[in-house]
Amino acid sequence: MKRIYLILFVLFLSLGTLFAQSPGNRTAETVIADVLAQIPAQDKEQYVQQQKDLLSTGESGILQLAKMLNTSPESAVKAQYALNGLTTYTTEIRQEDARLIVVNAYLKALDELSDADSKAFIIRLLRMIAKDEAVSKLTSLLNDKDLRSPAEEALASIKGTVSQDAPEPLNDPDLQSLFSALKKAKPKKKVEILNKITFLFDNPANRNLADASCTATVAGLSASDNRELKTAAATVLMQLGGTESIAALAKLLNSKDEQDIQLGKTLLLSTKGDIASCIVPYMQSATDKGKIAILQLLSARKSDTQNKVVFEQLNSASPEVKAAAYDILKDVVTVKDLPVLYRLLENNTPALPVQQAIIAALKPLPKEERFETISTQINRTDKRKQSLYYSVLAASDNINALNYIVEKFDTGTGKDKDAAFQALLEWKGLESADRLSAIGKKGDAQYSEKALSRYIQLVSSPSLKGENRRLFLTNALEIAETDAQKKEILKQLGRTGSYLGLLSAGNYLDVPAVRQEAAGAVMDIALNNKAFTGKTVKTLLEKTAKVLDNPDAGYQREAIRKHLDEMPDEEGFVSIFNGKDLTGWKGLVENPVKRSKMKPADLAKAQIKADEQMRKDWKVENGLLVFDGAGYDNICSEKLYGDFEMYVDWRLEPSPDADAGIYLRGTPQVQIWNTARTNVGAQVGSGGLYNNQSNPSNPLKVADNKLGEWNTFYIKMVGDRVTVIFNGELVVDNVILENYWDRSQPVFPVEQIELQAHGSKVYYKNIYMKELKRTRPFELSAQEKKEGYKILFDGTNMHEWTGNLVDYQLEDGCISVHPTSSFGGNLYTKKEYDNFAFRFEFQLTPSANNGVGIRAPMEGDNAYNAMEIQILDCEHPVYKDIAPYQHHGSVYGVIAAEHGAMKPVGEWNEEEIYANGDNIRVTLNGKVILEGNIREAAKNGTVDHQEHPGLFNKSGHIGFLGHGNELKFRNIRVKELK
Amino acid sequence: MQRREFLKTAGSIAAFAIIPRHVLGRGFIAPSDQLTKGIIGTGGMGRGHVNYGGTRLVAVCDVDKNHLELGKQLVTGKIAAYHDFRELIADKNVDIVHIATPPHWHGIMSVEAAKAGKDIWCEKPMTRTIGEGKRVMEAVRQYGRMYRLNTWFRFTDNFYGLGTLVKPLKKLVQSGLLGWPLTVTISRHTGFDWKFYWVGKEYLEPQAIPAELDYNFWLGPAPYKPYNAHRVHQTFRGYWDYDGGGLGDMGQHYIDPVQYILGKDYTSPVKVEVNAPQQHPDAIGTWHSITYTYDDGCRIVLWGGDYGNPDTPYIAGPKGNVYKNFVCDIPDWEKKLADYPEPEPQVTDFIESVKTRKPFALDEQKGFRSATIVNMGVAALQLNRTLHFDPVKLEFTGDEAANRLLNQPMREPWTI
Repeated sequence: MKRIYLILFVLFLSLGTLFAQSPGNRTAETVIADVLAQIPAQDKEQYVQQQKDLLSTGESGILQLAKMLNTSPESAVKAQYALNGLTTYTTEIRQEDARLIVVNAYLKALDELSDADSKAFIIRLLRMIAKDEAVSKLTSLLNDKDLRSPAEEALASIKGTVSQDAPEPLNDPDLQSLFSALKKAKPKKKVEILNKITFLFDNPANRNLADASCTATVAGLSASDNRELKTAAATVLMQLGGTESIAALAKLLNSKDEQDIQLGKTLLLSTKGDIASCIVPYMQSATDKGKIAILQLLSARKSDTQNKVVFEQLNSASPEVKAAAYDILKDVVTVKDLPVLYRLLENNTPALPVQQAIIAALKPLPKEERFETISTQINRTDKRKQSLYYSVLAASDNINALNYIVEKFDTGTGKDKDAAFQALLEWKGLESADRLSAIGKKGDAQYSEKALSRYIQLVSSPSLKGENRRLFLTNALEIAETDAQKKEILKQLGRTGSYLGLLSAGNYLDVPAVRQEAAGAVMDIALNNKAFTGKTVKTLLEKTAKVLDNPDAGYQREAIRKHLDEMPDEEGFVSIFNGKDLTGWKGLVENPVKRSKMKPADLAKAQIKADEQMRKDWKVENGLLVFDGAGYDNICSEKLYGDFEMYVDWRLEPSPDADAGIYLRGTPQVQIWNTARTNVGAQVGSGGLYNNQSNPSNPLKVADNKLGEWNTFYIKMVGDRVTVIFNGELVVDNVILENYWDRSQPVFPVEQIELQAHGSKVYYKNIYMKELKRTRPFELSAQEKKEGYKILFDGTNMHEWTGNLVDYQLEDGCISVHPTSSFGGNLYTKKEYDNFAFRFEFQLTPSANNGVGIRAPMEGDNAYNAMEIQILDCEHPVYKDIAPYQHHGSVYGVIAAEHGAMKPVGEWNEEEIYANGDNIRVTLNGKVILEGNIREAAKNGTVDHQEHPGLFNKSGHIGFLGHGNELKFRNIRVKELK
Repeated sequence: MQRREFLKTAGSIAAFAIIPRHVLGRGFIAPSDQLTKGIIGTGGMGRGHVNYGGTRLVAVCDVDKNHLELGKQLVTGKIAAYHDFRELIADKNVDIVHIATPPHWHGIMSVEAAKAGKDIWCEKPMTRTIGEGKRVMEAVRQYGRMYRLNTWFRFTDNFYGLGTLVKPLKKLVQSGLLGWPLTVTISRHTGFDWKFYWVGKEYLEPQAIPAELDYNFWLGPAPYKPYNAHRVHQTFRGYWDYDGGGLGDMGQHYIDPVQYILGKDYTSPVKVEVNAPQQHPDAIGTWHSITYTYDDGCRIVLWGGDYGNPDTPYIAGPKGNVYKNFVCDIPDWEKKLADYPEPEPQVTDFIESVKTRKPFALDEQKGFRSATIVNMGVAALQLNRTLHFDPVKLEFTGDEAANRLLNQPMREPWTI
């Protein structure tokens, strides 16, 4: 990591004349180049630092920067950022001498720049920052036809004459005078004034200006026979609110005129204050329309203290009023009204509104109390009428109520059973799902179809993740009997985006009655997920294209054809469990470390014994792979896997100790357990890399389904990194899986998949593997082997490294730097080295900057507290003015490296850093670009005139020193010199 | 009296006279019982907004001949077509001027239309600077015009991630159940997308101006910069000279209802803070957050892209929170809320507004205040710093550069 710019730099603005020579004796060129390489600043801190640095280069530096405006587009854009940042920053700090330096530089730039666009750019900067000092220069430019306009604009800003012809703002009329005018005005004028008041009152602050006499005046007008006047006055009353206004508006409800009632109702809804006590007195005298309006207003305000009148209207002679009263009952009842409501319910009144009212009255109670209240009432009730309460139970949202309903369904008969079933259907949460699926499965035609329909509805909720919906929907698909339900399920499956959902739907392409829906699902899932490749997908899509039969089929076939043409030719996911027998699976012998040390004959013998044991405990039942034993004999894939993606569905048989797991490459494990086992920490959920010690071991969230339900994992493993998506939730995000069997080693590059046996019953299905193209691990040449080189990075794991393992990612066999902060953090060897030859390859992106720290501590700025061998795309134009000791390969700030050996950006470079005592040698692509003695070089102070206290460190880590840029490393090895 | 003259006098003399259409009597509203309008800017936006009820399109205007041609085809039959918007505004057959140009024109055109006695329907954002917005507000009131800023969430439609009308949100907030002050967070996490694809390109190679486009007129008051197709038409939102990126595009849609919900229609925030990468002087980039604070401590927080906390509420108050999909964490809040009045009725039909001279629900005053929030953010992004604002004087406090952005000069011959 080169540090061209200063870390600590105090800007002494009063010493403006010194700015020509930037601090630390660095040249303006250096400072500018470094800022440009970092531009645009990603946050304010970096921005401020850059602007301070730019300011420090003084007038000549800024002028130099301005002249970059008419160079290559790339440099010009960077200069635009820099100059604009400098301008805005200077207007922020408000220091006059700094401002003058910038303005003077810009004025000079106007003389020295040749093209009009660059000049116009500078003039627009001057518009933001310049004062009188720029006026004469800008005025002189008014004769230049290209610059006239920007110069005029800048002058307008400087003189503050931009909005010269803005009129005097209008003043609103005085409210008090409007009110007094109101009294004398003729009706037509009154309307006008009232509307004006409404407009002013739209700003609530103005309403305080009205007093009681105003309200009285307007209230009087609201009784006018003139409709316009009445409307305008009533609107003002609504805005004023308060008892007097409400009383006047309430009178409108007592009118015979429907328009009045409508006006009163609409405005009272928006009026502040207690309206119930003002409107209830009109309940007797009002027309039916008026009564209904009053009921609706009581409903809107949920006026439970005034509900006596509502109960009275339940007996109204008018059917409309009566219906309205029942309709709003639910909004005005409290727990105290329950006895009356019970009586109503049991006395042949319309059941639904009364049930809704009871549900509303119960709502303030805690869930358990709701259940107890209703179950007590049920016990007091005549048996024949008990079922009226089941719907109320279902709404109580208490699990005891669900159990009660289920029991009534199981044991009841006739009307009672039907009512319990109806209540079960009304239950809102997913808790009823297993019960509904059981009823659906039983095949009692009266109930099963409805139960399953409700189940499908519940599990299709978008609040569940697609992969989780797929689990439930495929369960429903197995049960469903009617074509209508199968069609609905297939339609919903198409929305899951799930690979396994695609396969399930694919099974129905041959079923004529539902094949259109199956085809739709296959098409929707496959076409929206380019990652779903392979023979199976291809076959299903081709079949789909054949069966599609709808008005758009032509277009759909074309889309499928295009998708297939673009699909890469690869194997894709392959099932490794056939659902019939244990083909492809074997027993577990020891662990991978021990197995590798066994003689083949001994291993074969042990394998036979292990297979025998495995067959005792692992069975295939109903297409499921089942472990039902007491031991710890994992079942293992016969095939070995390197990098892969995997799907597996699993289900724990409910038991307190339920536990299982998936071993990846013979290594424990992606955890599966009963989350109720808090004594062992299972509340964190399944899916974590349980055996990790230095890397995260807990899942990111709990995503387990109810114990006894199916769950599903998607697991991706590349190199030593693992990602787990569990029931659709990301729970492990590209985390290193540690080698449990030998923690000094990275996880095995290739090994078997194991399903863990942990003494409790567990079911598996849908086990699919997709092998990913593996990076061939880098190997030492015979020569390097002989010389004693050791590999630090072979493309498959980062076991030898520590530090920032998040920005430095394992990608396509490289260490790829994806900085998340402005300085990408550092990556270090775990081990320390003193004298060595360090070989590696690197690939740059344009203007990239990094460095190799040697003999470095894992902290501080290694360019000074150790030694940094620069890595830099120094051919990039932004670096054209940097000092020789900053070039690629230099011992940063101490010894300059030679030019000309770097390959073009984007190609791989091969480098060796040879460090033997004070002698350093750097070889790039076979050419020695630096060879020198650091003690010699620093004898009279280093060339950069900086302190390098760590230059003569005896030993330390080797590190990559991030500087906020993307680049890649690979094939890293080291030889320690004896 | 001719109908159009009647409407004009009704408007200019008695700005708030109520004349419901039935009292106009037979003969006044003829021949089609419709007001007439002219659209300036018949690109995608203008052409998409032809069919609002209650008006008849009689004139179109565009500086791009192709767009104008498409504009003429919007109606079957006779239509006046103009190159210069001043002619459309002067057209006696036009009652309502519908401005659907890029935002750098909105200010000038609104003021000119108001001077000519036209009522105005303007697309968002209202203007590209605070100064121009203030000027529009003054002109509309001075000439007694009706003005509609065209976003509508304060009175209709489900409000993005809240999945509800704004009305119940307004009711909940004005009840005080959530406490005070409130913080409203507008981000992907609460169901809003800041459309970061509206970013400009930092380097645009000069290109030949297409024959159909009067580029100089298209630029109008904006600084002259060499033509490149990316500056105009579908992609102009990525450049500071004409708009404000995703913030300019969506800002008034998202923020105007918040002003309404918080009851801030007659004031503005006093502070804006930004957290963003440094911006290019021409091309608009992305940002992490923009935070506005009102004098009573209420805040509006904008998070761009995926920035910020995914679990954050849409409205956070000391006594309760409202989350995406209108989930409120106050127990039994619906019942508690019933004691409070409904939000007051609004005039939500612009035709009614024009005919009765009752201000539209989102008029020049409210539109100006919500546009000001957008433009405060634009200024703070451009200057990369915290700005303080005076909601009465309508200027930034103690920041001359910010005030130079407030009143951007216009290229000659344009003034506002």
